[in-house]
Amino acid sequence: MAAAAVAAVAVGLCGAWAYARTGATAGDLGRDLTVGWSFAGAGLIAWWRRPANGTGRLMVLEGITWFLGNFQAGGPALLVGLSAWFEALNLAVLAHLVLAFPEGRLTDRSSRLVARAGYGLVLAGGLLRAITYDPRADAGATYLTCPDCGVNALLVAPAARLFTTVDLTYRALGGALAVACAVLVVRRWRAGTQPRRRALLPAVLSLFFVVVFVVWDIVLRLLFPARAATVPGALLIASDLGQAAVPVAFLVGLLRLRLRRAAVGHLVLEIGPDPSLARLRDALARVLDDPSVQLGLWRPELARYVEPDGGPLPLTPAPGRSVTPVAHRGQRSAVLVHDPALDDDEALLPAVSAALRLMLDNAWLHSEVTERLAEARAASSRLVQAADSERRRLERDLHDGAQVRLLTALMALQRVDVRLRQSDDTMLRDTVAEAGRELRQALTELRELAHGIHPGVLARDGLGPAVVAVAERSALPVVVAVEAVRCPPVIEATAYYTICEALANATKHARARAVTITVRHDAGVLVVEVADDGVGGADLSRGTGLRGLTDRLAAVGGALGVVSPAGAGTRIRAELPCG
Amino acid sequence: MRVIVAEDSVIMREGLCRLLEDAGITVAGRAGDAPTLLAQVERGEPDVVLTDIRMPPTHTDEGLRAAREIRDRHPGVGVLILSQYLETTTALRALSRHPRGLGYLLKERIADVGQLIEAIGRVAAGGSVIDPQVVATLLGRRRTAGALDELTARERTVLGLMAEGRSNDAIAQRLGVGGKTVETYVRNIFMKLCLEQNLVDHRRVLAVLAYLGQ
Repeated sequence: MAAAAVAAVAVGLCGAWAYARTGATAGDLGRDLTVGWSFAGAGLIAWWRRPANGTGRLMVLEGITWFLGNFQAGGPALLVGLSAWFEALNLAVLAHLVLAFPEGRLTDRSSRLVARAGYGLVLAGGLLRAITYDPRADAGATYLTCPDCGVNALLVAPAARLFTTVDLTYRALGGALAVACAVLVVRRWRAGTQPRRRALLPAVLSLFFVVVFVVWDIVLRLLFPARAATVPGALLIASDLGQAAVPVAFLVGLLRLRLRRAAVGHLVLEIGPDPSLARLRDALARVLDDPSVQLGLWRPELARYVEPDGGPLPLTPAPGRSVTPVAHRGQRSAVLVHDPALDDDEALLPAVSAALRLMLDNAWLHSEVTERLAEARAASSRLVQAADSERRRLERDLHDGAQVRLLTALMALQRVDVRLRQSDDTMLRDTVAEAGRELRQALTELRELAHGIHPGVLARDGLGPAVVAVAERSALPVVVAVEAVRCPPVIEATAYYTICEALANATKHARARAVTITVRHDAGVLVVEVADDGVGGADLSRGTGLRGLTDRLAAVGGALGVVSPAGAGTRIRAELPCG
Repeated sequence: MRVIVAEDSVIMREGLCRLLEDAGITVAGRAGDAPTLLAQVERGEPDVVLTDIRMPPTHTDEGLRAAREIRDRHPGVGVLILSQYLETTTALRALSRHPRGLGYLLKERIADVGQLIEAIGRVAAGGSVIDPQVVATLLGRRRTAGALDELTARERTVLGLMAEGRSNDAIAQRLGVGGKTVETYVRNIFMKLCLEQNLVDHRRVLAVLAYLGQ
């Protein structure tokens, strides 16, 4: 690369020196050097940044060959001859560059054909032209104005008329090749997608300049042969400045791909912590500058790729589409179907694949964790519901079993008692009466026990009456304010047990004088508050009652908060999802 | 007196029917669930229906709903609701909707034949019956402060009997005092509680219950 740089500088300087001998102004020299070195410089940068891409080397070559024509101005006769021979070599290189852009190599047959034809024309046609070129006779044949240019060592047939014909044919063939190039590029442009067109822009631009220049040259020569050498200076400046811009355009076009590669890093940032597949696809489309990009995820159970919206992605892509598979842990994971233009940068898609793999890993872990969490939540919710229905079953059993038996026994005893009214056996009557009292006491205790296990009124009439019933049994004065709203049974039961536990704590530990229970419904949340005026100092981390409540609330998607400063009462607040 | 008994436990239902028959009451029908009960009421022309609150299929409030329907469709049929649990809210709600010819008793009262027969008689006559335990709970509600504290012990007893649905005569009889004395107690109670004076029968019960249920 350093050698190429040295060569470009040396050839440029030598060319300029030769050019200056023709009496070229400083402006002419400046323009000449600007265009040549622009190509060489831009080419060197491109070569350095994208060594695998041939574009940079072609641009350097273009920069060096740009100066070859200058050596016709004089010096050794052999050099003048070679210079005349390869004067148009830079145009062939430019055609090659244009056709090879942006891949840096010729990818289809017609491009290869046209590029080869360009080199062939310069080699054969240029030689033919060189051996008929007499610098002293055909002063206007080149862009150089040197009436006393050097001697052409290759000249074998000094015949002015022959040269004119050869020269014109040579130029016409060159023009034809330029048109062929234009046709190929325009065809690629028209067939291309948005990213492809963007990539092709420098080639089209440079081609435009060359075509304009060549056509203008030919037209001028055909129409005004006499004035061919007197090109208007302003037009020359415009043409050269335009040409100087071309290598910059090539460089920008080439490095744009690199910028895009850098943007792949932003993918991960852009997706953030919620890597949904649809967002991933959109971000890919933005980063790759390809709105048509499709993302498919491998679904082993379907044995096919599926798009983020759930639609299947065909295994064989449509023609004109390119496929990049993404493997994950050695297995098919995802596939990107995209514009083939993205393959131009051979490092872009591997970078995207790597980022994609990372994000899919993330997404997989994310969904795994979410799934596990949902499973755990569902499991604990099921446990709570199972416990609730177990309580209901137990209460039902007590009601249908023990209570019925005790009542039946009491009724039987009652009938004995009625018969005994006439009896004088007071001891027997007292015994029956005592048995009756015991049975009634047992019934009362059983009733309270069953009610404590699961109050029937809760399921039937909701929290309000159930809380009132709890308050009535409380040893403390209780103020109850419950909004009349119904929630799912498991939520109502959880709220109920929370209130019971809080009230029991207030009664047993808080030495409270009064308790306030409020239940209200606020935007889908059931808010339960139990406040007492006791000694405070209750702690969630101590006491199994409150901790059990925390677990139970968490299991149904609720939360428990306790505010209990020492000496300033306790306020227990539970929030449950409802509606 | 014709009575229909609705109770899903067969042992209990049979025991109850035998108790009633022993006391000279005609059992005009037996039902194990609400639809059967309603059909029996259509056919059996009962004076009173005894129904458990909880019956199949859901074992929640089938008896309550059947009671409401019977009171709506057959105003002449008194209904005595039997509850396993002491649920003051349920009792007050049922009573406020149908203050006449309706009663709410704890189920274990059926073993107290005298009390049961008396309650049946009262709902048959269009009166109200509230279980003494419910009234006691209402009276026993822990209040931070209130007009109830102003009542004398005797007045509280009279208030409780009123809340159970008893008339002045019945109260006088129960307490072994004269009718005039009871009237004085009642007037004092109503004054202290700031209730409307001179309400009769079921209106008086409602006013008292409403006060206690606040």
